[in-house]
Amino acid sequence: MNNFLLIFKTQLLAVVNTGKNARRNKKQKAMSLTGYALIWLLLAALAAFYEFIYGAAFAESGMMEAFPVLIVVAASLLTLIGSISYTKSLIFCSKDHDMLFALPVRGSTIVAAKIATLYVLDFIVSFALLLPCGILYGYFAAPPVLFYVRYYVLTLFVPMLPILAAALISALVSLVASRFRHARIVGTVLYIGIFLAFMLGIMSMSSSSEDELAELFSGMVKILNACYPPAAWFTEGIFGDVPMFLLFIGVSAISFAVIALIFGKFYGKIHGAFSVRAVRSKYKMSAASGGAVSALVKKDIKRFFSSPGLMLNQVAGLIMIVVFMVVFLSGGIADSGEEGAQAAKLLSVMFPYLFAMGASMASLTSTSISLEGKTFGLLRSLPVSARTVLSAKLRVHELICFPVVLICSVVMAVLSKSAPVDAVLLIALPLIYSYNAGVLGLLMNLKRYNFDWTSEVMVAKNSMPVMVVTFGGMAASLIPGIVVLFLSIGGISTAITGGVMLVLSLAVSVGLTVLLRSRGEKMFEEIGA
Amino acid sequence: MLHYGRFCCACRVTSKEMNILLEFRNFSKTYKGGKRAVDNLCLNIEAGDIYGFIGHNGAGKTTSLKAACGILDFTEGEILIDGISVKEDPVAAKKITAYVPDNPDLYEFMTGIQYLNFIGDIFGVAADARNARIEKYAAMFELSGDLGAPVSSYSHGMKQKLAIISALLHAPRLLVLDEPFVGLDPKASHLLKQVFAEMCGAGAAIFFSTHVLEVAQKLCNKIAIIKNGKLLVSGRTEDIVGDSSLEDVFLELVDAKGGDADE
Repeated sequence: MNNFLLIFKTQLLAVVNTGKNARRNKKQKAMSLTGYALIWLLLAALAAFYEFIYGAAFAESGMMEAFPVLIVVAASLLTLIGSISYTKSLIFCSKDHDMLFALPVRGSTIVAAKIATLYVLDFIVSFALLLPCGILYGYFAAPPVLFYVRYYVLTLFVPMLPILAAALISALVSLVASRFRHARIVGTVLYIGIFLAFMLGIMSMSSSSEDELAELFSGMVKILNACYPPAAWFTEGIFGDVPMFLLFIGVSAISFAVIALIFGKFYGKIHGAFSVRAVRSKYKMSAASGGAVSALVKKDIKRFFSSPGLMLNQVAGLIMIVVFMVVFLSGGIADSGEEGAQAAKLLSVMFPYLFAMGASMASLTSTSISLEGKTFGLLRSLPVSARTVLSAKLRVHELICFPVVLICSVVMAVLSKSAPVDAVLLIALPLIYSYNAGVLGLLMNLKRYNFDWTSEVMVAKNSMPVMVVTFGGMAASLIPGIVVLFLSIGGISTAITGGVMLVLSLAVSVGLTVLLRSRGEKMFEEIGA
Repeated sequence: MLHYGRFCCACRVTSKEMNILLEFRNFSKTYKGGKRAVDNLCLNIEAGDIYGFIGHNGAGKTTSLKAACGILDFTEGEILIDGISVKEDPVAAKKITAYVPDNPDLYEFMTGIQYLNFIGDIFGVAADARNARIEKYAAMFELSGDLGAPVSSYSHGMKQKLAIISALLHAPRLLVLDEPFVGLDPKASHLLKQVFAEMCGAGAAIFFSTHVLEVAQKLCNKIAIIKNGKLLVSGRTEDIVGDSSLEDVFLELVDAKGGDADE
């Protein structure tokens, strides 16, 4: 086996076979794998649900050929945003850096193996979007069999360019940030700026004022193709244009090789930029703080802000809430003619559930135990109880998530002139969901912790706790939201459905809190036993 | 008094009465999967002791030290710190203890001073005492100029020094260290030995593991040797070593005695 394959295999094993998983027997590993497969299926099913709605609309307007463009761009964006968050920790600053670079292997080989690992992880996620798209296209357009061959061959190459773009953006941001004294803060601001720009760009595209659906879709495809030309190559490739088919594969594969070579050649410089730290020779002695919980909270907040990539991933749900609020209130949806006003009215029924979805997708606690890593022993040696440690971790989640959720909900309620009952639901429901995501994340992370990571990506991107909380939160908010929407169309008051949802979610909060106080604290004590 | 091989912990005099700061009472630890790392360990560390814990790799030293500091859970036996059960009241026991691990995995996202303040906050050390101790020990270990730098930029030895300073911040009554001299420069090692002597003079106790037998022989007033989880011998250093050297005694003991925990 050559060096690339050896390192690639090791990197993959490090991702899937760390922490408790490494010590499990075959049956437990099989069950764990089944769990991951079920979560992937849930994600694919959710994607299929939304894609079916979009697919039906495209089919109705006779624009079915444009449907794959939309999904490919969505999958590429998902890959790009996800990869920006993790390029640093997986490729440039992983903990096995020194060990790997001490081996008699070329730098470009190591970088290529790491990019390939990122590719596999991203492909698994993007395929959850791309797989149903191919099937749905077949359902609505009944293409020849060759279409499927071309489509699924090209899906293999879809994540490549976004990953490379993410690696380039990440490297550039770090090189720019390294020139500043407070490199981390500058890096964080740049990352969030890029993320917001993407999100606002996409949301504003969907607020086109075109009246006719077909024109709307046609305009959307033009914009998407202009923004991301490979999407056009992909589309033409799957419909039988051989040069475009080869162009998409060639550009993806060649870029991959070239970027791996460039990164391998300049790895030292890039790694140095990523590793930059502001060193202060002077420091101030601080007065004693407000006790153990306060010290632990401050410690975890420092940890949170120390890694821009990780932070961006963890607050993505909160950014979604902000972007959604800004786009809606700036008139993007409500001012889109009569249909827009109608859509806005329906959407207002969904506000609490959409905000709850964003809130429940931001669970800082689902990684907070694993992120202790090798320092967990230090935490255990401190004279603090399990309850104190867990309370501090939950408080960090609340301190970061609650203000954003609360401010957005209040602003939305006031500016959208919600009725008092709707305003209560809009403010209370996302907050309760955010609390539940915090407690559930903590419980899940106590159950499935991983201290053996060599990169934060292992705990933040591919861990069971993160996936369970994220997708569980999405399902727990969107499914009731859709039910409430249909009930409201059927004439049932949102006050009644909202009241029921508040009671149910509060009951879940009580149950989760009791579970954390009893089972959670015991699990904490048992870690490492 | 010299103890060879297994001896029971039948003594019913309380730890407080005997001025015992750390007491292992029939302590055993079996890891999930069945490996018995420590088997029926009985050991008393009294105030003023500098107690060396010696054994081959995998003998059960780190397991015992971690269990004593409340890092590792255990079900068999009892560990008392100044009469406080580690199992029943771990927080109270930890408040008078400090632990320095063999591999100082500290919070790399903090600066040195932030880390020390974090530890000071957790142990509730008053600002005046905290600042005085930080200044004293940072100057002693020549780390003052680096406290403003992130821990991630520290060398292994600097991290070790920072871990030691943080362990001394709350003036612990019991200091537990796992291979404390590994990674320290000769001057820092010398200073650490001075700190040990100072602390013991003030009524504290030091319990540490080491593979450096010369250091143990010169520094420790008491020594325990463990093999495969079982205590082979413990007692005053001069009683154990006699006219020989600790190295000879250690090799003789580990080669001659079975003491396999798995037997």
